[in-house]
Amino acid sequence: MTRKLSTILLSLALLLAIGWGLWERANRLTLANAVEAGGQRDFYNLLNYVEQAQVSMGKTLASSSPRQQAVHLTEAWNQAAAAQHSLTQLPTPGFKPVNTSKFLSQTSDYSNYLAQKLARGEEMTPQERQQLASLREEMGRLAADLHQTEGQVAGKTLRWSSFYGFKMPSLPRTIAGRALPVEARPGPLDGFVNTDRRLQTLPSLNYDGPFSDHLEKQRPLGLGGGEVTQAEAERRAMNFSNAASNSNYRVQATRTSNGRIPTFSLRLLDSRRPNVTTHIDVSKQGGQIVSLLNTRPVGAPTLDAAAALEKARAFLQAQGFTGMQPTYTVRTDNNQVITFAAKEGDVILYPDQVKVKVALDNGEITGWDATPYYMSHHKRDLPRPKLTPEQARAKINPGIKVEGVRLALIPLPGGQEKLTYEVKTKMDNTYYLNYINALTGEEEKVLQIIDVPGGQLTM
Amino acid sequence: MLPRRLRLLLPVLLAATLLSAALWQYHHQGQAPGAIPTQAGTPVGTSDEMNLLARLIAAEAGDEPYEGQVAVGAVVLNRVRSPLFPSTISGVIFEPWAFESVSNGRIWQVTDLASPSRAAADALNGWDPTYGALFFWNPAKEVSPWIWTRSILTQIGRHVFAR
Repeated sequence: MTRKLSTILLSLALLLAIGWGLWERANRLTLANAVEAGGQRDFYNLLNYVEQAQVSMGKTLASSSPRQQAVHLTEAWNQAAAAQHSLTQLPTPGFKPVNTSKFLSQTSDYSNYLAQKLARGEEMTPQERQQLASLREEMGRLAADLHQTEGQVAGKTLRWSSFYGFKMPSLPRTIAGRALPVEARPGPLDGFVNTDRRLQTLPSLNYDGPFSDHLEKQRPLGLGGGEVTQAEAERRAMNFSNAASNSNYRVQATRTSNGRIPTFSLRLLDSRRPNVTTHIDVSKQGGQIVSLLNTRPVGAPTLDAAAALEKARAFLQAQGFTGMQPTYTVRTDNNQVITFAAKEGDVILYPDQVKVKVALDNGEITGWDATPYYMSHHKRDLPRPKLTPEQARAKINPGIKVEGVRLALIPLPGGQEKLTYEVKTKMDNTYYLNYINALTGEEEKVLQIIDVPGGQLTM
Repeated sequence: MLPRRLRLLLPVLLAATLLSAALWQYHHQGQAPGAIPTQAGTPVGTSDEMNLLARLIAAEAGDEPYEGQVAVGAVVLNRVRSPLFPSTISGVIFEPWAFESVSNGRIWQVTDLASPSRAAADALNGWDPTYGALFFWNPAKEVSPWIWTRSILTQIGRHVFAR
């Protein structure tokens, strides 16, 4: 009797387990198909955009009208950017096609740079034509490689969903390896790996755009002086943070950092307030205070943005930064972050920026970032403006209200700087900044001012 | 030969294990990454992307010192500006296998966003304790050997930062 009952119970349990297993398997297949669809979509998008970009670049070279060239370059810019986006979302485990990604980004960026140049009424130089032609050739080679991979994808030897999930544990794999002789089979991603290796050997591409190779090697211009010792760096760090917090700090730990600005990075402990720490970076060259971050949470505000600005301004003065101009401000949590730019005469130098963060509960300086300042500050020979402020004002579309004009040196993508008139304009209750080149009268760029809680940002 | 009672014990135990596994699975199936807990108590930033960045920081560096949290946020933003990576914050965060916490779903389970939100705001405001890092990893864990070919800039807390 018991035996019969237990047999029934066990059979039921087994049926249940089998049912559960099948149900799990069905679920897994549904998810695998969704993942496969995602991978296929990204792959075919990549292939299409690469082909389209190559065609657009070809049309640019074939066209003889600068306007048509600008149109096709704009297409190539977007298509190459979309191809880069699809590539980066493809699941390729254990390997990143970084060189392919860089090639697509740079081609997109280069097309954009040329399109902008044509839009300004300039023409492509023979070298730029040559550069575009060789990028197009490379794009064609990439398309051919992807077509080969497409064969694998269509023949199902490459399944994107197969890259997900847990690997077989090593013991059964070894046994399986013994039982079946292993052949040196090509891996499913070999095509991508080979293409990426070839693209690594491309010559570097220098032009006036944000992805130009020369920007990788940018060095700080404003640090001055020789190397400082660690002891000297610690002394400077403590002086600075004592002044920022009006307190007394001691060094807890010092490490070094070898980023764009090599630094001694210190963690300081407040001797008066328990659990308050500050992180501060002192440049090895010149011993400048590049960055400070106080990690304490800030309580309910007692100061407003104007009072915070005065605190920040006074602190800058005390640190020897005179004549800095506050430009934007933004409130995050209970902190006010104010961006200051240096001035030379009556010209605002936007590249040379220092950010100061003020805690709104007690007015303490809780943050400092002078990275942009030390990266770009140097003695400049600013040209004399050829336009008067009135002439710059006259360049603005007559339907738009002008609120103010001042001289400003602005950074452009690619690292150059232009002397401009910054014209603040208002259209439909939204403020804009139009930058009119002070030498040529060309409009260099337009920024929109966006109101955010506790401040304004420019985009 | 075992007595009959004991002979039955093993299959019954097996069946009970299977049954409880099935029940456990059934109970948990609706909870996996599905529901994203809202942060009613913590005020998080001004933009949606900042919330996403704070989540990633919490999941990747929740136990790290504050500057380590800012550094992880800065790595994401350095990637956005790099030609090697996608050009949006969400594109960078959800790139396949880019972040362990996205692969294992921990990014959806974090609850303490107070410090990570402040770190995300600092990173978005331009603070970068690494001065240009594009990668970070925990040297105590198993990582792709390829990653060690990058040039290391510094170590903050348990994370190594590299370019």
